[in-house]
Amino acid sequence: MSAPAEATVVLAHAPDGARHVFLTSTRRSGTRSVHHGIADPSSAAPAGSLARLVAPTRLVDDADLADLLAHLVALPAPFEDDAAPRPIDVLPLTSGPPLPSSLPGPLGRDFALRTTDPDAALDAGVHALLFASPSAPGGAWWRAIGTVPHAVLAFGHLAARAGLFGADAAGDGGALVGANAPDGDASEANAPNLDASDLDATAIEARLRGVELPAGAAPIEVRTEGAGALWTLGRGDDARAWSTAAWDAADVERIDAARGDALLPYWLLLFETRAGVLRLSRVENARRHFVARLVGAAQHEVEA
Amino acid sequence: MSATEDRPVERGVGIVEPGVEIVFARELPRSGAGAIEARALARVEVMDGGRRARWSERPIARLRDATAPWPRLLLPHDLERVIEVARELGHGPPRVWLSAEAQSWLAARAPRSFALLMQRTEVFQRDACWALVRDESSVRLAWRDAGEVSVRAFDAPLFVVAHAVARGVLPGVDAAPPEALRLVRAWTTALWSTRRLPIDCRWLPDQRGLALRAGDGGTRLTEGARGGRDSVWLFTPSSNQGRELDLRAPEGMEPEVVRTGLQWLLAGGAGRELFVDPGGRHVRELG
Repeated sequence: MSAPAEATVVLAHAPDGARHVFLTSTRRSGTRSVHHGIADPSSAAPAGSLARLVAPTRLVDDADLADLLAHLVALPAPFEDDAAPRPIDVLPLTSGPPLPSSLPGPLGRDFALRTTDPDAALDAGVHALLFASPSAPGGAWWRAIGTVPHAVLAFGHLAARAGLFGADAAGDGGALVGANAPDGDASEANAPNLDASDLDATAIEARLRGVELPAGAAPIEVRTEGAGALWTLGRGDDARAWSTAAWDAADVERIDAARGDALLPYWLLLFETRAGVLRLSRVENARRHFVARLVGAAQHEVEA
Repeated sequence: MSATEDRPVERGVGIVEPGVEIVFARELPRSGAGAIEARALARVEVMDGGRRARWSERPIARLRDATAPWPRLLLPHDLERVIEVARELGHGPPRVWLSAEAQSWLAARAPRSFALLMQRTEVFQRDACWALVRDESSVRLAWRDAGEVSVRAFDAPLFVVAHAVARGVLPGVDAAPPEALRLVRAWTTALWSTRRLPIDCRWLPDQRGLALRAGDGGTRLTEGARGGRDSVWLFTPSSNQGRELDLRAPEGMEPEVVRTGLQWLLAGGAGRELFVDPGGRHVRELG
């Protein structure tokens, strides 16, 4: 059996490759572990201030990560000569530059980094988009956690296009989103394939928010190649029989609130399949979500 | 762990050998006035012909005085009386049990009483302890064992550095930059006291060292012997050649005692002497 980790770090790679740390948990002797926010070394707030303590941390390179770990775990005892590496569990929620397997730590003890599968961070059958609001260090961005269905990624692109994640939110690139033009023919055969960036942001936003549309305005059907219709952006009562995904206008308001929250910059958009329909089910604070999961896991470990 | 090989002479609960013994309480004496140099809490016990008794100079007026574990002794008058009593009873000089801090206190504040103790009585030390003595330019460390009064000096490079840092200098470094002082202070405190790196210091994994986040970018410490426990290398922008600082703690000293001594030295302050018991629980400072 491998040694228990001295600390667990939950982080995500932003589209620019920087690592954002949401949560760290440090194991004390015994089975008790402690979860807490961590100080932001790059913050301009004075040392020891509350702003420093609650601030999220953005790590630019491996040296930043080593710096974080060196502050996270207690130093070895001064008379101890143990040179064994200190195990650290890292949970990268999104893919990015590979994490080093070992980093130099203080007092001659290295950190051995063990990477955990990001899918372990979520319940089975739940997919999530991670959204960093404009108050996150380095600005707003959004990315999918682990592998998600096309529809989830497409929703992210639409929301980003509509400005729900902030004006210049960087996001997951790559995935093409096809759609028909909002004022064109709604029939599938005539729909030209458009990139998300070709879509009118206001039109998307109006439909995401469930605003009453003027007569003649057609729903937008979003699809990716070969995947069929993923989202139908129409009026709330305009549900199509072939719709495979759904959301509530109230969820969009929750995203608005999340975007405006200056103290809690990281949010999760959780999607679940219910009765064959993929739904945006919750908008949750990411840190709170992972604290609950990690504490739950720690308690489970104690009980086992 | 004790610094001596032999089992120290400890005083038991009561007197066991014939003669006269004075046991001073752990509480330090207080300054007196006029002919009275000091008032000390001390118990005088006499064992004469198999009979053990408490001796008191003044008649016992209250029951409370008879049962009080630590009656008051007026120095040097009562001490003279005890020496006389021992002589009258035909015993050798009184055996006196005094803590190291009480010895220092009496030597500094009650010179007549202290001279009397040294010349006319046999002084033993109550409780083994570590003693740190500092002045403007130096710091000395000694182990003072229980029993026969003995002072065994110890090398303490860590304490030398800590004392220097508190005065704004570094051993072997001309004009130590403030940033270097802060780093040395941060490193020693993290190592011995907090067991955490301070947040205003950045860990440099490539160099295995420490630098201030808001620093000039050139001043840094890197780990030396035993991963930085025994020494660190100091680099400044003006000298690329690192300087090694010896940070060895006294061999055999308990971590709690090292921590106490280190904190006391780094804090500076007016106290000149510090006495710490081997567990690091009982700490006494003398000004």
